[in-house]
Amino acid sequence: MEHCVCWLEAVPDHPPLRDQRRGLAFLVHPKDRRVTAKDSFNELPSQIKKKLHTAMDYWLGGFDNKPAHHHGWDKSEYSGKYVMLWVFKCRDDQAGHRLYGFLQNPDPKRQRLRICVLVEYSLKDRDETDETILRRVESIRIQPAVIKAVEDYAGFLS
Amino acid sequence: MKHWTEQDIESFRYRLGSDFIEDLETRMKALGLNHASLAEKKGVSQARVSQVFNDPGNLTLESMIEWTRAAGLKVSMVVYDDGDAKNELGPIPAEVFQRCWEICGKPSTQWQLEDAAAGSFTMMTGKQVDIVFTNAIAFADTLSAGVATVQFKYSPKPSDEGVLDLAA
Repeated sequence: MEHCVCWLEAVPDHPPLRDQRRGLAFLVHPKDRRVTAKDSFNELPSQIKKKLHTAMDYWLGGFDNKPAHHHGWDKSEYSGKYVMLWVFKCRDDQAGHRLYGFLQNPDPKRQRLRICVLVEYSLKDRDETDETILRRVESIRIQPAVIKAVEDYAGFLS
Repeated sequence: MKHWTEQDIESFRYRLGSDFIEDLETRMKALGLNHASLAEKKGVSQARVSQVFNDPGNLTLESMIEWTRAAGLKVSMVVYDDGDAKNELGPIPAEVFQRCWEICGKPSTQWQLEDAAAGSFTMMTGKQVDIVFTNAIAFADTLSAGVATVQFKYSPKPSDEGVLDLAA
């Protein structure tokens, strides 16, 4: 992988692909310090990991109406600029934990397929969305190297 | 690859507890109950309700019964074989069993279950539809095992009769 600027890694302890429809992956981007999801997630206390794993389970299983665990932003929010973004979330006594990412179909031949690429971890003390994070994740999503990494990941899944 | 709930019993228990809280909150919402009203019914503080709901890993069988009964609800335990003996996919969310039960018309006895599988279904849309399956039990088993997706297409005729096309 040394020749690659960035790549995707399946989130451990979850099936790489569920029902040929949904998969979860970390974006690994050694030269971009904004990409924190994988390292931060690995360092979280086990109790928080369990909560986020549960949120991931629900999304992977297609249980979309669980905004306390995960959600996106529709066309009516932020002028529709972030409709491809997604967040997994949970709370502990002190703060909210968020894993921000984006949804992508890495294989146009499989139209229902969605990969959620996790990009950034954030610790929040309020419920409102911080648009600077969304702007950052969106800017990473559209990088040519990231698009290429997502396309390459399709090979791993097939 | 093993699912994260296979790491230890605590992890599996945490997921079950989360599913339980998810289901309880959904049922409470349908009944117009919130944390404050549940706290009042159970005789505890609202902070205690929030604490339990935010940390479902500490639930016990006794406490699950207490919380559901306080909300005027009941809880069941389900043992199932989903063909995933190594637990690579994790537990099936309680919501799946709950919705299958609702789709079958909420049977509570073996006779109601057989009637539901062979006869009259109340669809999620609220429409009452009469269906006869050649192998009703197998159909119900397939649905509840989640191994097949069945699409229901309801085409009302002018005579107010319905034609139901099943495409598996």
